[in-house]
Amino acid sequence: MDQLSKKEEEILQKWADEVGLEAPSHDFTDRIMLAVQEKKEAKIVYKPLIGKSGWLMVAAVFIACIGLLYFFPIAELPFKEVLAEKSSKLQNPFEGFEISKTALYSIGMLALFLIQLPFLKKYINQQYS
Amino acid sequence: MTTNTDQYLIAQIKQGDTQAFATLVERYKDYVFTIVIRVVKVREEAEEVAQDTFIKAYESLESFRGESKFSSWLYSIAYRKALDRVRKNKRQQTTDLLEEITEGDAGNIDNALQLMESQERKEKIRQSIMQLPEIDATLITLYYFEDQSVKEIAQVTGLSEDNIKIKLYRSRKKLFTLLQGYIQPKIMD
Repeated sequence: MDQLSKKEEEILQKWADEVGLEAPSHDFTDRIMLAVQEKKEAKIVYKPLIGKSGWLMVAAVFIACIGLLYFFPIAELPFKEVLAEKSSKLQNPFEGFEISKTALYSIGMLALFLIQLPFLKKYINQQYS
Repeated sequence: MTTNTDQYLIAQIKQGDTQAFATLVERYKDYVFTIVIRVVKVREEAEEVAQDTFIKAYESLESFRGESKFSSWLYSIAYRKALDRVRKNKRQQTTDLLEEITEGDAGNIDNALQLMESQERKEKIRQSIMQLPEIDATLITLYYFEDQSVKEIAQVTGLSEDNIKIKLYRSRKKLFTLLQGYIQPKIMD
């Protein structure tokens, strides 16, 4: 059995070497490169929502706030009393607001469903890709 | 450092050098095309599928992490795309071939082929491979024409190594049987 296989194998290898590979048409590579080039151009280039200068601005404002607090602490602010008075007048808009258990459960379930969505979407995308 | 390895070219492509991809296409187009044509059997369709294979490879290059050889990864795309095309066309062959070839037969077939003109001989072998069912033609192509190891073929086709060895043995028998049918008149002359 092994010998038979070996001889067959040798013969087959000889044939394969003689026949060789098949070649596609001569402009095969050009056509692919054309398609690839088109794809590349059609690709959407994503820009970050907050660019480099944006982040610099945020950092500057943050540092400025920290600096102001450091040099002018709230305890020494002249309008401290006014601030305290204003904040004591603020009311919690949800004070006295009650919610039934059933409503709470349904909100919880809805939240769970919404959390599932991205996972489901990813799963389905994988199935069809 | 050599500037020509697959890894180097892939890194170049990822940096946006599309010309490096042309080098890869040139390097592998015959291999990919041979696998595809042996499965789909029709030249025009094979061109399309081979082209789709390279475009798909270009698009998914980001996901190629180099765990397997680039060639194995590329061939597996080609193989899957070719099978998809065959399924779409519902042209799947169900050839039942007898596998009753003995050592003497294999030698006889070879002798008969050697009597033919080189061009005719090549054509007969080519036609016989084309007659093979998709999986057999793929295994013969990968193993004998593209010198892939059983392990690499497993990566391409998703079959187990043992399964490939058995299938390869049967594919070989089928090919000899087909060739015997082709050259029978010649032997009788």
